Amino acid sequence: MTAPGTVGVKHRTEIQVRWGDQDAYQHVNNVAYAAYLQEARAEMLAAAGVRASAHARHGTFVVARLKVQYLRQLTFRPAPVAVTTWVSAMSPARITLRCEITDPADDGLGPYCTGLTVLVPYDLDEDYPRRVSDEERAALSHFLIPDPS
Amino acid sequence: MDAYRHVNNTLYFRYCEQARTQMLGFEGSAEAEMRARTPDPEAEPTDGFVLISADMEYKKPLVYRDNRTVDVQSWVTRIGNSSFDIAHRIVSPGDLGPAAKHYAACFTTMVAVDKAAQRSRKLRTSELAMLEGYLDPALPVPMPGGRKGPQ
Repeated sequence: MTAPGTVGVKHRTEIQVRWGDQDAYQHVNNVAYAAYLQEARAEMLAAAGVRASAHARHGTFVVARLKVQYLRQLTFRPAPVAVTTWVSAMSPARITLRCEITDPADDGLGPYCTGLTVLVPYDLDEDYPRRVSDEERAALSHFLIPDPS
Repeated sequence: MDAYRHVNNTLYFRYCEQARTQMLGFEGSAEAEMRARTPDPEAEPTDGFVLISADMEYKKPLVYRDNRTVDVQSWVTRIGNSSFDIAHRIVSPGDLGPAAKHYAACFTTMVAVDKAAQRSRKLRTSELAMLEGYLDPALPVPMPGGRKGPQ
């Protein structure tokens, strides 16, 4: 857990590009980027101890917004890509994440994409938004790097 | 559908892409066949469009049900020299008015490219005409800068 006022860390994972993620342009298709960001997000939530489980129906998160800026083309490659995810803002009703997909070896060309994800805590049984719990807030603060104001 | 019985967030991107490629007349579409009958002398076989930004707002869960379909409404909101914006709304079938309640809205920016040279190019005259045909002033124009929150 991170003490108040300190800056957290970015979560990093590597994802293998699949052959079938390419489209007719031989680019990794835009939908695959969204799937990579989702995988990384689920890993970050699990690493923070926040379980996104269908069995805990009262304590889930749903995606309220996903913005992806495609900065350069990603083509099929044998080496994985790195996906970095962090929490840029937390409020009682929403958690904002930032993320980027890069070359793990840092080829100096900058990210393939940057992403912004807004998660809303949601109670699936009630079918209604809920509040971020104190436990979730504490757990996610490990990955909290607020946007520069 | 995912473990929450919701259509997973990534699939909304696919639905919008499907609507967009139909509208823009990608290879094999009815739009492309129609345009092939009146060839554009400016056009090159290496002409293409790529997506450079997509911003999806999920308004209410799309819950999986047998035989259910949705409509994706797509319209052009900006035309530049080499790029343009398209807005999409995912709605119940036939619910297409300006005040339609939507499951999600997506704001996208596309760029005209030369696929071989891998660089952007100017929109062709025929492409400008095609895009102008999809400008719909009756529909809301939520981009750019019209949204709250971080960009």
